[in-house]
Amino acid sequence: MKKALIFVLLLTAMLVIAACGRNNEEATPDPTPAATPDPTAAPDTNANEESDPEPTGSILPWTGDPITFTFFAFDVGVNEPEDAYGAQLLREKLGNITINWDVPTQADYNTRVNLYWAGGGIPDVMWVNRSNSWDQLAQYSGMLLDFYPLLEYMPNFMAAAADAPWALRYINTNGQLTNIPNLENDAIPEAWFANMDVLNRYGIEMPTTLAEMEEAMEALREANPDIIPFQTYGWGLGYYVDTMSLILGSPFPAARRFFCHENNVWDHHLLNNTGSSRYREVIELLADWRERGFLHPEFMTLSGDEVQVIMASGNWAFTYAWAEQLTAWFNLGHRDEWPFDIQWMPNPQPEAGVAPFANARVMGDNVWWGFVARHDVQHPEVLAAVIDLVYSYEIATAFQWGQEGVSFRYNADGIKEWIPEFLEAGQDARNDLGIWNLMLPRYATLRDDTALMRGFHDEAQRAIRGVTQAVLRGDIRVDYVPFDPILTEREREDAAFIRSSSNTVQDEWVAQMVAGIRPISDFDAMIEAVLAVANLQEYMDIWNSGEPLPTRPTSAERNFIYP
Amino acid sequence: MKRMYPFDYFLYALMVLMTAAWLYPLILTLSISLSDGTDPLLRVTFFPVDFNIQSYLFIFQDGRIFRYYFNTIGYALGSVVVHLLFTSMMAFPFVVKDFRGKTFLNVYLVITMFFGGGLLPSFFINRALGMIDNPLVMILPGAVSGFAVILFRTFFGNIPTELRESAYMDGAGHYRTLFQIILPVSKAVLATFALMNIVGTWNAWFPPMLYFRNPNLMPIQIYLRRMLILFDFSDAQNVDLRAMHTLVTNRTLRSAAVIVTIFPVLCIYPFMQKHFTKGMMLGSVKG
Repeated sequence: MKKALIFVLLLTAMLVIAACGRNNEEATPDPTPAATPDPTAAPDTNANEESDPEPTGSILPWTGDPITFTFFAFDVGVNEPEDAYGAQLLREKLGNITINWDVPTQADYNTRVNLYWAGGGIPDVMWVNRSNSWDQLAQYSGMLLDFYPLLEYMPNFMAAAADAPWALRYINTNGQLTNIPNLENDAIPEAWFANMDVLNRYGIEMPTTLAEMEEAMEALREANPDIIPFQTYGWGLGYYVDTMSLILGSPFPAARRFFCHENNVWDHHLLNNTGSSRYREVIELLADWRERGFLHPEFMTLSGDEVQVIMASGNWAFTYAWAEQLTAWFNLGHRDEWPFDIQWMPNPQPEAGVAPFANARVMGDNVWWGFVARHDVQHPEVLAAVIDLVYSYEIATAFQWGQEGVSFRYNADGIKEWIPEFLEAGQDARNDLGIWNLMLPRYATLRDDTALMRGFHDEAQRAIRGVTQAVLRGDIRVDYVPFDPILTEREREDAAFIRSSSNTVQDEWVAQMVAGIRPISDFDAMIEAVLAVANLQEYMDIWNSGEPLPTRPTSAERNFIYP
Repeated sequence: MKRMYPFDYFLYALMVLMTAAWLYPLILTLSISLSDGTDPLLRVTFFPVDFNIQSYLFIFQDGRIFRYYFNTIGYALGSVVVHLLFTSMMAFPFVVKDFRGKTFLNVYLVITMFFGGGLLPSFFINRALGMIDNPLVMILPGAVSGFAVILFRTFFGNIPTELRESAYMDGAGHYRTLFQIILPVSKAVLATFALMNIVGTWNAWFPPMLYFRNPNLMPIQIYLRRMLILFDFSDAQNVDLRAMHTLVTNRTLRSAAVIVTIFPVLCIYPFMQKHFTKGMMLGSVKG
């Protein structure tokens, strides 16, 4: 009797709590913005009914009472030497300001961020990206500082935004600017490479089309089964699907949803006939390569270490990777000679005359990382000025180029170039000078990736140059989809739930088809299986009902950088 | 000499295989740590290749490792003292005949073994108690566990009541009885839980990750975590792969960090072995 009474009391308590929680959820205001400002337009400086912010100059170096700010980010391996040129410069400019860095490992970063969003008490400044939900959740939560009234203390950032209007993209519909982003360049750093030592050994020429590449790989398999014809990162099946998509000229990567430019709607490649047939081609190609032995038998599960051993051994023919990855795989400095004759290979065409695709993963308007601050931070104007420092030409140059006369110089055309002797001194020299080794600009800066690229191995530079010029000529295509639409929190959760279910089933079937456990003829059955657990049409309806943001600029409208 | 049956040979063979399976990863890690890390093709199967101790020199040249050791030892010792003290003080009343509320406390303890508040409530409570950047977060939140109290209670219950009664008759109160009569004969359970606590605190990385901002408070597991997983290249959305590749910690350094982290605990285990073995049977037999 007593136990039954306790059970009933507990059950009643749980029901009451659940009911209260439900009421609370319904009472939560819908954060959907009523309208969205055009992110590519110049900022409306009257958005807050204040006078136009006039740059008043920096209030740094700070000479008032000492101020300490806490910055939160994840550890990217920076050890900022105290006597580095850039570190000294930063200290001079900061004055009586100290920055305490809280930098957990990358693996723990999301746990901490989610705790902050859930529980408040965020540090003075957090370094976040769009996947941390700050843009559609946190910025309407009241937790974050509005930088808009503080722009007068950020003249460098405003000067940079004049050339990069997307820097102010995240002015929300309340007229608040809650994120100061890292300003990227437009760059295409991924490329194909061929191991000419291997190809020359067996009398094979560098292929230009997919068919030629497959002939080459077949010949290699017959000549020496120990050679892995194609090897790339140990990032799992998804990266291989992406790579095959690029070869075939299909812009539908493992992200699954795509933007149908003809109909101007978002669609899912399992719902759309064209999409699903192209996706099937990609899976067929991958399965075919696996069956013919063009891939490592365990390519889906290789770890980064295992891939490094394979690449460093030289027993491979073709790879697709970030251009300077080879240097890292060989455990070398950027300017060291590669142990093998590896050459850039132009993106193979799916068939002669058909342009393949390239992944433009680095795009200036693809604002991803940035700084947010707590709404009640002490000395917000000082904080704004501190963040503005990273957008100053002086600090950005010190961070990316080092010190004039020591690491770089201006050539006859007034363009910065590395001093060869400094470049040959290796990575330690760069670290000691603070090049890519300063905390504050490491996380958000005014990027000039020509500095990075011009320090790469000559062949890596040639690869980036070649691919980028091919894109600009139109020989290689890039698919620019609109930014993800703005959704309510509920819509995002519903979409994520559907996506999670569908991706789980799809990934399992795709892995089995590629591994040969299932025949490719099961592709249609896969679609049915996915639709049985996930309403993809509802997912697309949610996506299309969101507040749209404009399509991104085309390749011709971009200012791609290359070495 | 004891006669060996065929099944005994099978058992011995099985034990040897299992021991090899457990020992091999440790030996391999040690061998990798003592190998030359500059060769990306480093293939170590059992013995070190191109023996050198550069990885260890690199680790110990970083003076922070001693700080991490100091912090971890402090947290482990503090945790042991607090844990044993409060657990024994919580368990002892259960064996006192006249103690009212035993049943209620028993149910309360068992409930805590099955239900927990989860990460967020724990975080909020600890934060409200001022545990952010406070070394006590490594000691106090886990000071008393229901499981330990129950085992202590069972062990105390097995101690002859005559021992306690004679102490009471001599005028000893409960505290004196506990600290001067009961605990001295409870070395097995104390040693067992001391060892479990030391190992648990030594291995703890999640609480310091959550609650510590000050690098001077970090334990050695956070150092190891940084060495092992500085960067996850599988997430292509992460920033600046272009500048990150050369920062990957090589395998010998990571292996050396593992050895440095586990070495003190490996040294303690042989001395605590007999207590640990005896302690495994604690609470299983009432007699």
